[in-house]
Amino acid sequence: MFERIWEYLSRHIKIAFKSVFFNFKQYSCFFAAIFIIQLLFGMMAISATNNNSVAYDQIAEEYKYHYVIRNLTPGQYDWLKEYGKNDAGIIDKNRQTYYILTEEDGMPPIVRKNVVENKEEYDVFIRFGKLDRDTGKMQSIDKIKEYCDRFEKNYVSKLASLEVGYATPNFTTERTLLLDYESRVAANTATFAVIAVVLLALSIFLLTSIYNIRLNQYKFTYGIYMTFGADFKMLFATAFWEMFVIMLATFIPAALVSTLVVFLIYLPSGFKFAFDFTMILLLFVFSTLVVLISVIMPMFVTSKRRPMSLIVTEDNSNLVTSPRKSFNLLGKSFPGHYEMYSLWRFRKYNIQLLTSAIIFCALFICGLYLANIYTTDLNYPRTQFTIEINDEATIVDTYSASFSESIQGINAQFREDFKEELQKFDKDGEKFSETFNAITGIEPTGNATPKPGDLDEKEGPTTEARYIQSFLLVNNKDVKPFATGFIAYNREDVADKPYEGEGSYKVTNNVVYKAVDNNNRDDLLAFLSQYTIEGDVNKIFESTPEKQYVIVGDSISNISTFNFKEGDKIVAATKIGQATEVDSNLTGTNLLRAQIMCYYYKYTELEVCAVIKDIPSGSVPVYVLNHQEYNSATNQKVDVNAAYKDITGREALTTKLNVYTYDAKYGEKDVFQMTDEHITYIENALRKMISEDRRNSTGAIVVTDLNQLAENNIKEDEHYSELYVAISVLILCISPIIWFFSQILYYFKREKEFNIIQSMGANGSDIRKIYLIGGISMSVLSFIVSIVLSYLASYLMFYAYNVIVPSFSGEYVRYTFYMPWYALVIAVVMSVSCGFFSAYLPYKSYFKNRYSLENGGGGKDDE
Amino acid sequence: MAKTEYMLQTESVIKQYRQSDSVITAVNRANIKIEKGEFVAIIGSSGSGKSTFLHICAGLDRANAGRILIDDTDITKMNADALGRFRGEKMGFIYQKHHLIPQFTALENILLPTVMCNKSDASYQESLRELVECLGLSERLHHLHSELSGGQCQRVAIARALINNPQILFADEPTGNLDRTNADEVLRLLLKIRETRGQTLMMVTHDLDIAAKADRIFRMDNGILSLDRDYIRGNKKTVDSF
Repeated sequence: MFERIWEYLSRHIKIAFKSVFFNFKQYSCFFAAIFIIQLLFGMMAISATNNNSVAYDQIAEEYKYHYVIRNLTPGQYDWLKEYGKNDAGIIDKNRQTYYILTEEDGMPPIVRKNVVENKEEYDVFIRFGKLDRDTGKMQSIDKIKEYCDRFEKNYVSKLASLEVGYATPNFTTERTLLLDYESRVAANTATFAVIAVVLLALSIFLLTSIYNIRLNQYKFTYGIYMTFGADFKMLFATAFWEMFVIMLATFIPAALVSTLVVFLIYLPSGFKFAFDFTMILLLFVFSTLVVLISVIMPMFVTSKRRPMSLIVTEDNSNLVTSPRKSFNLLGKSFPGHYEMYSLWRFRKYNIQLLTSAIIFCALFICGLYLANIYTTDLNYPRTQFTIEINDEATIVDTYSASFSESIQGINAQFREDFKEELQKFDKDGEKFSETFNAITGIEPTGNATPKPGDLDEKEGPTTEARYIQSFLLVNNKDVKPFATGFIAYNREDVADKPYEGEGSYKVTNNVVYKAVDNNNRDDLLAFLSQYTIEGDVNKIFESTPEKQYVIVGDSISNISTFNFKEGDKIVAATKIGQATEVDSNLTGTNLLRAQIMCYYYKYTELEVCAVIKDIPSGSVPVYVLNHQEYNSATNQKVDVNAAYKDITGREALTTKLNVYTYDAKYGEKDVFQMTDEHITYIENALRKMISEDRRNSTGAIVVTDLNQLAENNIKEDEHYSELYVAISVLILCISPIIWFFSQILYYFKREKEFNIIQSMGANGSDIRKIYLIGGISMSVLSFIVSIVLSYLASYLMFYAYNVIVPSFSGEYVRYTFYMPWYALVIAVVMSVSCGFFSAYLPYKSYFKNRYSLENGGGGKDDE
Repeated sequence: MAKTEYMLQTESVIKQYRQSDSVITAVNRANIKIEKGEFVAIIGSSGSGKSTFLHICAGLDRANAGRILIDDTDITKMNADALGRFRGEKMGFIYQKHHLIPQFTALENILLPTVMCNKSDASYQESLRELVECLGLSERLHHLHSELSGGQCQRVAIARALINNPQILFADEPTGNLDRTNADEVLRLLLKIRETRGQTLMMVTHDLDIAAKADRIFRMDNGILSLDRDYIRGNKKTVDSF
């Protein structure tokens, strides 16, 4: 048995070894391709290992605690503190399982004065179990989670009952990332798995492509193998072992180089570099898998062919396509017409070459796009804090005007308290320290996506049209071509009275109506000023029942969809009744179509006063005036139609505030940067403001630091950018490999044809022209294909980040479409030069070693 | 009277090629029956379809219609893999051009069919020794084909075709690329081994002198195969057997 296995292996490896190294030139391309594949995977695998340790280091650096309880009363704090002592209260088996960290442990001050109630509030930072800081590893995360669960069950629940004066717990609890370290590791592993699968597919595509090219040029050998009994299994085995030998030869250099590259990428970041031998093993498995799968299809197709069709491989069909063509071969149009015909004759080969080579240029652009996208992320306004201002017990009335004043107060106080820091950025004539606003915008909002029962309460300053069976009618001219999510408005299909306005209309319910309140005018203007606005935002406050103004976004799902201009008209349709029920199984545009056919609507014409050009959104925002007084400043007290309520049927009650803070562009230097200290300052000020305003009604106040989270993510992912750039460059290197390998083989096989042409009277100059025309035509074609594919790749990445990712994450950050021009130039130059020089090199080689008529003009043997 | 055992039987084999709008019939309803151990030559002018017919009989090419039975097994019904394995076991093939694999030595080329058929080292040792000795290759076994003469290359090709001890041998003008002296020598060795092993041989040739050594000669003319009555040797075979 073992003897047979040994015999099998030694035979095949010997054959493979001889085939590969005897025909090294034929296989050199495979060495390069497999080396690059191994390098790519090696870098990904080694960086994945390191990302896990980096993730832990970053979390451990940021959070020294597992659990935080905020806003505790002194009584609650004392109770917890006493129970935290080893000798007090906590039962033996839980001894030393939680520690309250103090300022001595480097924590922020845990006592905060609640100005309104004139008593202290406490934030408590808790660490469970023991953390081995020397090894940098968690001690039994499962155990720590167990402690945490027990702590929540036994102690946190008791905290609430200690203060009878509170209807609901006034404190908030939060588990930190330190407890969720494993989920971060799992996320890293999942990302790595996805990338590995993509890389596997890409590698198989690359190797299959070049193997097919080689096979096509050297199918004679396989014809002989088949003559003497080879079936698919045997052909596959011979091909696999050839690739395996190459894979073995490149394995160690690739493992070493990839380790070195990742090490060099991590070195400047100051992260600890970890080497895991398992990853090297994984690299071996991955490489084997790639070479194994890559040869299956080419060998399967070959095995289905008859041996004679593989052995007889001459293709000089240019010479004998038709008698007329053959007779006129060297006529006036030679060699131009002849070579253009060759381009057509080998069209399948040319198409395969162009797409397979240039697709790697497109992937290179994708890689650079990916590397850049993380940093672009922070150049867009993002909510810094979210403040929930209602609870289950109390329905809060409308967003108070006093909030605006409080915000101004916070900004003024901030300017005062950080005057010295701000003054550093004062320039001649511009007093930065006097005009600076730490809080740049407040956005009143609510539950845009209603929960069950939410609609019944009829509240919220934002309402999605589709949840109230409303829709928007937009003139055809205002909708961009290829916009999705629209249906044509067919007046004949309408159940009751259709909208009778002039022109043709399209309909969408991808709309979110947002209430604009005159009391919070300044907040709205501040909020909208973060975006590019066309038109006059202030006009919305001049709305009258006869003329309703709206501010409208230009996009749906972050893709610019509308051509709105100031003065354009849109129409909001509001459901007022129904003729019949709508099939409950319908969704999307089918549902909308059915609703239009079954429901009765009233129509409200709205004039666009301003268009927001770059607001991130899943649905197009339509800002509609809400307030009952259209001009309180002039004290006219004229009752106007509250358009928001009229359209949506809901009260504009604010339940949530999105707070935007000052944010310097990412990477910008010599400008004021908000630090953790500033953010904490604002957070405390906001808490204080909310406490003052809602002292009798509010329950839990959640202030979430979203922007800090995003910045942290970007900082954590900075090494990814470098990795993506390195990988992109490697991917780009694949393109010339395919070009030169394919073209050298292609022209080598045509040498016999050129010799025959020469024997018929063509001279060296004609042959030169044939090479030249071939090179130039491939350059021109690759120029066109590379631009098209590069544009396509950029758009796909843009689409993925603007539409697909937000549809899963729910967080809309809008990126403007951009073409990484420098990458495009590199890709085009690479493709064009490869197209030309991959013909030029064989041309030089042909004239250097050409088989002249002295030795028969027969060219080289196929074998 | 003992029943005649046929090594190869073809029934109405047709092979057509499509070229632009016209159809060329390379083999037109070819029928042949070759007994076990028989040597049959097929002669004909260039382009008459004789090589195509030989390739089809050996399963190297596909017929458009008709049946081909090798040792009573219909190879036209086999899939590509089964046919490959069957070919490795039962058939040997010698091309006009030696078609040796350039990276392999003479010995490795000879042993190629044993690798393709997954034979154990022990199973072919005797056959190898016999062939090497008979074909006079013992001094040249570790040379690449570029280091061998034309005659030596063709002798290696013959050894390669015979290493698995096939029951039927197909030869497509095996001496076509050799000079007269080399051609005679190669042919002599081929026929000697065939006779020793009792193998069936179907050979395509231009050379009437070589054909004359066959038991029967068939002529291919514009795709139509017929027995060449003028060359029936010593009435060994009758027209009836055709």
